[in-house]
Amino acid sequence: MAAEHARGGAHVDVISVRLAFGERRVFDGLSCRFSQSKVSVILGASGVGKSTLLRLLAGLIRPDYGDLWIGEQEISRLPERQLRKVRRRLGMMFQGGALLDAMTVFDNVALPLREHTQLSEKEIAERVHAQFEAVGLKRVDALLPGELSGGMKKRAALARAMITEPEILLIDEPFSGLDPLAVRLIEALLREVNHGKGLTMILTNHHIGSTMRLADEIVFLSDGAAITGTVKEIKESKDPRIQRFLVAAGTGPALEEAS
Amino acid sequence: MLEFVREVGWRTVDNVHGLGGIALYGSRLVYETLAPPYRLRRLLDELYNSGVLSLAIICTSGTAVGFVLALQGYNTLVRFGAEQSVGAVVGLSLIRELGPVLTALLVTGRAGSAIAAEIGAMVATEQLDGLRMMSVDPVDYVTQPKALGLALSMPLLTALFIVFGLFGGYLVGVGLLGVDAGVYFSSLENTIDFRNDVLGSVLKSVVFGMIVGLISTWRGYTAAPNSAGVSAATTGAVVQASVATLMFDYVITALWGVGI
Amino acid sequence: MNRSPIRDLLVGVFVLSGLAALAYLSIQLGGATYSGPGGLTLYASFDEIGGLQKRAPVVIGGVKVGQVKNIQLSSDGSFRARVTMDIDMTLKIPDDTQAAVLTQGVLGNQYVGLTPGGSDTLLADGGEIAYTQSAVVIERLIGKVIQSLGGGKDDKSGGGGGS
Repeated sequence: MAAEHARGGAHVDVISVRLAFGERRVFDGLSCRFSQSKVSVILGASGVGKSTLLRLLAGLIRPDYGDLWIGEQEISRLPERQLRKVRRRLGMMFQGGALLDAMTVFDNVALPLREHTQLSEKEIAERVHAQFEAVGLKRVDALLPGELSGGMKKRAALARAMITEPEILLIDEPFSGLDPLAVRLIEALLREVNHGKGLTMILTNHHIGSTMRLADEIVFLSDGAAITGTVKEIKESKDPRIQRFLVAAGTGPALEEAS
Repeated sequence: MLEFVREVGWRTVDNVHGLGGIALYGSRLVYETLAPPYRLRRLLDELYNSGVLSLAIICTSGTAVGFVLALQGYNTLVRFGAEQSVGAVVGLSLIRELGPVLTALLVTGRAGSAIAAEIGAMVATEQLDGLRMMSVDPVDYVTQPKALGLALSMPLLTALFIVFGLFGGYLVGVGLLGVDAGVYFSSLENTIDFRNDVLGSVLKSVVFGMIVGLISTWRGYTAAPNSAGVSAATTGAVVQASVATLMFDYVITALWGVGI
Repeated sequence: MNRSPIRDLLVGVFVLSGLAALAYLSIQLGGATYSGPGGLTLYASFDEIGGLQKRAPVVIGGVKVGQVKNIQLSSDGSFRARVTMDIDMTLKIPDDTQAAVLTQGVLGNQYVGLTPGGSDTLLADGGEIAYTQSAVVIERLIGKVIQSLGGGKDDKSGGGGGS
């Protein structure tokens, strides 16, 4: 198993994962891989399990069956304590930002440093401000998350995810709730982060346009299984499910297909 | 009929499952309290939220209860010619029962529900998951300071409730009903005993504080991640903490009376 | 976190006032001072203590000077009630002091009243009060009254004693 996945240069590997919530089968033998330093987008209709797959990768949910590899480490059966160590290599951007609303934006972004490093307050302030600059935030230090706009929340969440310099960035619906201009801005930001730092980025998205512009690889989810390919391969795919999705997305909101 | 039996069986198993869950969670809380990092800053914030912000309701309610006790006590005692003992009646009722129990119920309503709602909302908005992804344990960072803050506030609030109640009793008994001030306090001092009364009262308030802290943080922590879930967590916390308080009140009263 | 200094102050005030309230209740009201190594311990044996209970007050001339710490059957086989008393240690109790079990009012709680004697010798810590007066038990009093009115075996008396 290990040799097989190391060979492909894959950074994150999902092998034959099965997951059900009560009666509902979400994944039935799902396998896919996410390559190092590439931007991979998990694409699919709403409700197909994109966020669930991301949460599996984050270790927030355990699969009923199968393996999940983050680099050389299998995580699906890891006890919480060791999982915490693995998470140091991950950064996650949640759909709503998931910033702690009782704390200022500065304190939110500084939290990982204050918890896990021995840096002085001065050094922490330097790093936090450097992150703010990297994500394009200005004068937000004393604001509360509730006072930020949608786009600013996403930027702050990105700053927080990046401040510990993770190897892998997991991003849940980065473009949800944003206007087209904000979408472009966040796209540019993500691209810059990927090129600048060579991070492996795994995003979920149901928005075709930004996916096509951003992705190196696409993992298309449907019926509990995955179809992987480059942007070109997916566009030209003969698979009826993909075609249906692309067509529907071209004329309106993506179809809702509960599996 | 079979359906009913099945339902009873399922609910019993579910409740035992729940008890196990809360017991495990409780032991985590104890562990996080005793193990570093100690998070004093957050504890102070939570003492403010649970304690200071409850002062208004505790002090006004305490005084009001004191008013009523003095009035009712006087009306009853006057039939036996014993109205000068109204101080003792007010004091005993407050210290032994009404102080700890009413304070616990009021604090449950004010601080307990706020805590359950706050933690539940954090679950719903993925804030706790965010903490997990930053390798921070939400129990250590969020729920334990809140539970401890509430548990520590409870005995202090109870003592203040009682003192304000005694004062309220004084206002009505002495000011309104004409009991002699000196007699009010002397009957109080002569009847109240440290071991029998005050110590038992402090013990009750400490236990109640722990119960309410445990239950309200637990309900918030296990809330379903949506607005219905948060609302259910809040009302559930108040109901369960109140019932548990009253049950433990009986247990402690019985045990304390038996084996001093 | 610019709300902190005021908040901290309020928390401090809250904690201090709570502790002060607890102290008031414990010390001023609860009288936690009598029991302790500083108290003077005295013993007295009674034939009958009636309803005397632990923590009942010990009184001299109407002033509370201590409390009953313990009540046991005496160990010398005489079936008397041995009462242990914690007394304010600043008092000088002569050795011919009398201890009596008295009742507050007619039907009230029972307590121990001390009437100091005139002796020059004082009772030391652990000393024994020799002169004791037992409690008056209402039932026996009524029994005696009925007996003295109606005679011993007369049916009309309705039996002796009883409550």
